[in-house]
Amino acid sequence: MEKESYNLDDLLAEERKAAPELPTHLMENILADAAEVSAAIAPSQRSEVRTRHWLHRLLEPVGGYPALVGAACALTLGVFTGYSGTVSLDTVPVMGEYIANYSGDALDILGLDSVSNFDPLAEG
Amino acid sequence: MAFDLLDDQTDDQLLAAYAEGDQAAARALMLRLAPQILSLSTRMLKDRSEAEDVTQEAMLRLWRIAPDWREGEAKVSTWLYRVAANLCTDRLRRKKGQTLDDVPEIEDTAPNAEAQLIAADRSSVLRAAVEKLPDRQKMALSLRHFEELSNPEIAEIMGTTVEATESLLSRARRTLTAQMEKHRETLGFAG
Repeated sequence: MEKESYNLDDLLAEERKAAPELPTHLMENILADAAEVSAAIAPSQRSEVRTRHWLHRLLEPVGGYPALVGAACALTLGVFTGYSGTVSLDTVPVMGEYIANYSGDALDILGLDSVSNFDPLAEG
Repeated sequence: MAFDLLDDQTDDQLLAAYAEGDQAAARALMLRLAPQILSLSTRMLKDRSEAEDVTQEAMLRLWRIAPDWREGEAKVSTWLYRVAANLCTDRLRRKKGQTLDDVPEIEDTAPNAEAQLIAADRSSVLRAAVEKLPDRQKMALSLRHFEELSNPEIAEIMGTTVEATESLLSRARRTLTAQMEKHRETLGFAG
C-alpha cells in the first residue's frame, strides 16, 4: 500500500467531524430549565426586553446608537445655522468696530482711498 | 414563531425572543449552541456524564441572563463558550486539586501503552494525543480546530491575550506532531 504523508490540520479536521450529538434526556433537561426560567421572568422585564429589541431593530440598519447621536448633532447644528440667519462682518459688532477703526490705517499704507477702489489686478 | 423561520434569526434575536416568552426560540438556540458546548466539555473532561452536566449548567446560565442581554454588545456563542470553559476548569481543578497551569507532558512509558490504543487507527492516536495535552493547551486546541473559533475569540473565552493563545496553540501542535511521528510507521504514513 502506498504510504501517504500526513498533515496535522487534515487529521484535526477529520476529528472535528466526530462531534457528539445531543442525547434526548439532555435536550429535555435543557428545555425544562428554559421553561422554568422563562416562567419566572416578570412581565415588566419582558416588556423592557421587547422595547430594547424593537429599538435595536430600528437603529441597527442605520448604524445603531452612535449613528443616531451623530445625526442628532448634525440636525441641531443645521437648525441653529438656519435660524441664526446670515452672518457677516457688519453684524459682528466686535469685528465691525475693528474694521472701522483700523481699516483706515491699512488703506493709507496701501495708498488707497477706500477699499472699493482696490483693484488687485491693476498694474503698478 | 414557526420553527423553520428561526433559522434566519441571529443568536441575539433568538435570545431576545426567548426572554419575551418564545419557547421555540429556546429550542432553536439549544440545537445551535449546545452541541458545540457538549463537544468542548467532552474533550476537556473526558467524562460524558460530567460534560452533559456542564452543558446543561451553561445553558441554564444563558436562560437566566436572557432578560438582561444587550443585543450587539457581545456574541452569545463566545459568552457561552466562556462559561463552559470556566465550568470545565473548575471541575478539572477539583479533580486535580491544583491550579490550572501548564504542566509538562508526562510520557506514558507503560509497557502496554501502544496495546491500549486501537491499533493503526489514526483518529484514536490523535484523540489519545489530544487527551494527553496539558489542560490549557487542550482547551485552546479544541476551540481552534474543533470549534473553529478565531484566536481573538479564544483569547476572550480563556481570559488571556491573543499572543498567549497563539503560544498555547503552537506548543499543542508541536506536542501532537511529536506524538504522531512516533506512530508514523504504524499508521502507514510516509517516512
